[in-house]
Amino acid sequence: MAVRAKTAAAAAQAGQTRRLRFQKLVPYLYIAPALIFIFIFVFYPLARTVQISFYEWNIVRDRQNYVGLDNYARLLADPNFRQIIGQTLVYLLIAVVAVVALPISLAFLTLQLTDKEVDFYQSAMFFPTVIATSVATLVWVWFYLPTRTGLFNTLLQPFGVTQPVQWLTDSFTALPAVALVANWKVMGFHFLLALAGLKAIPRDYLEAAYVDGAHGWSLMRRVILPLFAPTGLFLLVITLIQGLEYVFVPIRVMTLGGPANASNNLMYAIYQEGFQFFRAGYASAMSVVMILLFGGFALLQYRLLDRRVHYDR
Amino acid sequence: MTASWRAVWLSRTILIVVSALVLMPLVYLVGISFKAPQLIFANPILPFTIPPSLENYQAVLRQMDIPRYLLNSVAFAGSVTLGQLALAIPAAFSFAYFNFRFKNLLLGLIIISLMVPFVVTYIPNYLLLARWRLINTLPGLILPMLGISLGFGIFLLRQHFMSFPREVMEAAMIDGANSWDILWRVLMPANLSPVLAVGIYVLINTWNQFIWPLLVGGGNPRSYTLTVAVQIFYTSPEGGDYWGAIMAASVLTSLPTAIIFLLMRRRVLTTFVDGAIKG
Amino acid sequence: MKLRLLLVLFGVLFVFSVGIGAAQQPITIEYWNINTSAFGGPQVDALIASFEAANPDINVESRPKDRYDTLVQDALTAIAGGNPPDVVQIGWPYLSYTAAALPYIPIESLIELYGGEEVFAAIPQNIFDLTLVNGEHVGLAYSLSNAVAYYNPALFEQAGLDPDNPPQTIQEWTEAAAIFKEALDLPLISIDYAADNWAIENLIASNGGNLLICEADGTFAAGVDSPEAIEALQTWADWVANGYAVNALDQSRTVFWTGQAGALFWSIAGRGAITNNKSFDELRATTYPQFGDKPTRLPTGGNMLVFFATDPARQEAAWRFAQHLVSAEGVTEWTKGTGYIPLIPSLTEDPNYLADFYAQNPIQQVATSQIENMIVWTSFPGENGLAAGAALFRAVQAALGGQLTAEAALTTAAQEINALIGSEPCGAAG
Repeated sequence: MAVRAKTAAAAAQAGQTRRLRFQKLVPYLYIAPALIFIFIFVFYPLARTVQISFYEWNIVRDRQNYVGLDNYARLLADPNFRQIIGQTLVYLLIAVVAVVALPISLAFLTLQLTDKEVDFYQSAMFFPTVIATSVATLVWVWFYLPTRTGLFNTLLQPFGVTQPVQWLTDSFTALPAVALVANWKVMGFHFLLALAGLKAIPRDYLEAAYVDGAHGWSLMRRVILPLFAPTGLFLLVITLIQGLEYVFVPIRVMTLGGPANASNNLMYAIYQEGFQFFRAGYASAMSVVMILLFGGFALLQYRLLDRRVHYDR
Repeated sequence: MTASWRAVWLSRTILIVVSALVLMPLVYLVGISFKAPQLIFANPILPFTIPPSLENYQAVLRQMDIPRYLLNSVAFAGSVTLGQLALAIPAAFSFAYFNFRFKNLLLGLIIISLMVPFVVTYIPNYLLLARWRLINTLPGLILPMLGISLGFGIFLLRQHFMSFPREVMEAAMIDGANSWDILWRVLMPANLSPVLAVGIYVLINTWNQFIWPLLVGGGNPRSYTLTVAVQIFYTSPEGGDYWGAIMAASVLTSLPTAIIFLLMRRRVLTTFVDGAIKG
Repeated sequence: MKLRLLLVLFGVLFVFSVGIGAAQQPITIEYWNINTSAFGGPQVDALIASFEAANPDINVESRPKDRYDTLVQDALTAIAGGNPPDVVQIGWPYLSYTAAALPYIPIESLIELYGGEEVFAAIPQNIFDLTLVNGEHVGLAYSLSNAVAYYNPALFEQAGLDPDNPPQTIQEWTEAAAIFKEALDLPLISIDYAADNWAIENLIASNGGNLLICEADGTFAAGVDSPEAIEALQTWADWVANGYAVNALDQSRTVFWTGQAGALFWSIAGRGAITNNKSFDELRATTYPQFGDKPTRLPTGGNMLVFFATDPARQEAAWRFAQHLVSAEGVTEWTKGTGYIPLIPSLTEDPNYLADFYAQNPIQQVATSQIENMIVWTSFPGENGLAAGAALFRAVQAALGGQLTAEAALTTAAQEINALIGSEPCGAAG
């Protein structure tokens, strides 16, 4: 055994010098295929979007009018665009409550329960993640029917709401109605992440804090949140961005961004401009603005991650 | 931890209520699909009528070419899943195992690619596919999805691979194994669960894609996925709204992913839980 | 699990997906339409079957989409992708946009190349000319509809209204709605509306307004801030505010056919769909309401057939198929199944075609009685035309939702529309 190890080590050493040059390339070869796809379908299109944003173009014509920064100027002067930016933030805010605060609170409640029981809640809440949003939205449309036969209006009747609420065409309820569908869909995934974060906190640590008299909110704030913070951050930022994409389908199916933009957000507005009004340049300018907004998030995230990578090694 | 039974029951009640609320729309989805068409609005609160009716399912199977769209969805989601795994596994391994120049930069790029919302690249990707004559074809649906969101799998798998004991890999190296062998003979057998879980996650997400398949494949039934077909067949501003049939078609569309989830539930859930901890 | 295995599996699936799309017939043309199985789909299939039986060398594939905007969107993207659809139903509000931005083949060229003039002789000239933009026929007029007021006589009776004497004017509808609400605590009216602005144009035009006006300097301007337009939208918004009308966007039809509203203002083209879906027994209809004694002006709904095929063989095949669609047999099938007004009005008196059907369908007669009131459905001109239409749609929604008065909403909309289309010259299009 020892002899074999010795000869193997010697052979490895001899081979190592020979393979040294090739060895240097190996890590890149493993990554190359993935990177090629990412460049072709993410970064190249991204660059094209920036380029198209300087043109006036309807996708079909050969002729593209170069208009410089006109699209951006029009964008900034457009009150509809300001409204849409504002609503995008509202959607994000709702998402923060629904996919951060709520799941963490719920995960906190599981502390005293057995794993088997938690497993049940976890599965139940994860289930909507598995169903296609476009399909799930259809049942919500039925819930929101603006008549007395709509489920929600039926449920409200005993509480004295006799005039049926017109959920999807009322400017006050349209955005929350759409957001509810999207967040219902992703909440379970975040509950899972919250549970994971909680599990990472050593139990005796919790016990100690508990004995020290930390209960409820103070336990949460002093012990759990600080420990949880780094864990799910990466997934959190990404799923917030994805959260906006999840709203997309309910908007497309239920409100078309209305009434009067009341449920619109940046992502849907880009789609509208690009594929419904066929103004590719204008849509691209909107895209660039959105990227810049998210760029802030991304940068922050990269710095955090960078630090963690150094930890790992 | 010592907790009063009162607190335990309060927690339990809240969790049960929330779980029930979350599941409620799905109960109605299934329930309405079994209501006879003329009874759908008879009592909106009751999700079921007795006896259940199969009329809606019969209508759907008569009017929609379900097998064809099912085949399309399988080809679309299956190709994307396998393709993404084939790309993500080696990349994740490289990031977890090697030290090399620009490693952080490249990893950063991959993570940034996840921050680019899909909608931003719709137009250029569409034009790219148009140039390759892939509009309304399944390859046109599949190819872009191999690059978009690929970073997610890379990142998650990297987290798992990093937690694998280095000593084991180094021992294999000393035994003369090259990195390729280490990946497939040592690392993969030990990490089958997370790989499977990432695969299932990608599969479910792809299966449920709607806007992209509508945009690229919505021009021809040849390339309709189930989600697109349901929407196109049952919503029309000048047409009828067959609520029962809509729900029945929706149930049929959701069935495959729901079954996969129920069967693989534990694997998927624990991978995400562990992945997040290790992250 | 080896990478090789993964790759092989991937390869198999991928090749398989390529294969699914492969098999193609020699001459197969694509007919893009909005006739989903719920709306006219069976009629399209029947028309294709009868055409293929007479023309075994041609295969027609129907491509239904869920609405006109996605149809135009897909056509545009398909054209951009170098694979244009052969013949497409383009909704009337996209006429100007099609003329300005899409590579259509004018009807003049098709007649010159492949003949067929005699087939169109039966179509009245004014209908045939609906597609005329800048001296060229952009497409072939095909489906024609106008708005009628459907109502549920059983609910009318319950509310104490006379189903034999339905309201005829806006004022009468308002009074009836008050009685209806008092009696049943339900809204009387449901107006089906969408981003295409058809519903609001029916109201504005019937009150004497116009969505577009041609300025003295030869450019277009928005007419949506005229007093007539404001009054029309405010009337509708007041109905909603008082609970006389339900504001239900896509669900307007469901509301009516589940008996949750007494009347539905909608296209005659939906007669078949309502008949199939309604939960009550008898359906009736009356003419679209008048503002006082002003005669109604009803934008023509429906679509034209526009040709995009670039390959001559497919062009000719598409052209022959279109001739079948507008033949007496084709029009008869189309009208019976959907409710569209026949392209050849004389068929309604011809016992070989639609005479019996009309005798048994008083609702269809209501639409025919309104033919003289039909006007062109306004489409906003130029490449920003679709965005201009969206500005009007936002104003309608804002007023109906009570966010803004009709005046404020329409004033803003007029400014937005003028900024988008203000420099477009007025031509023959309207």
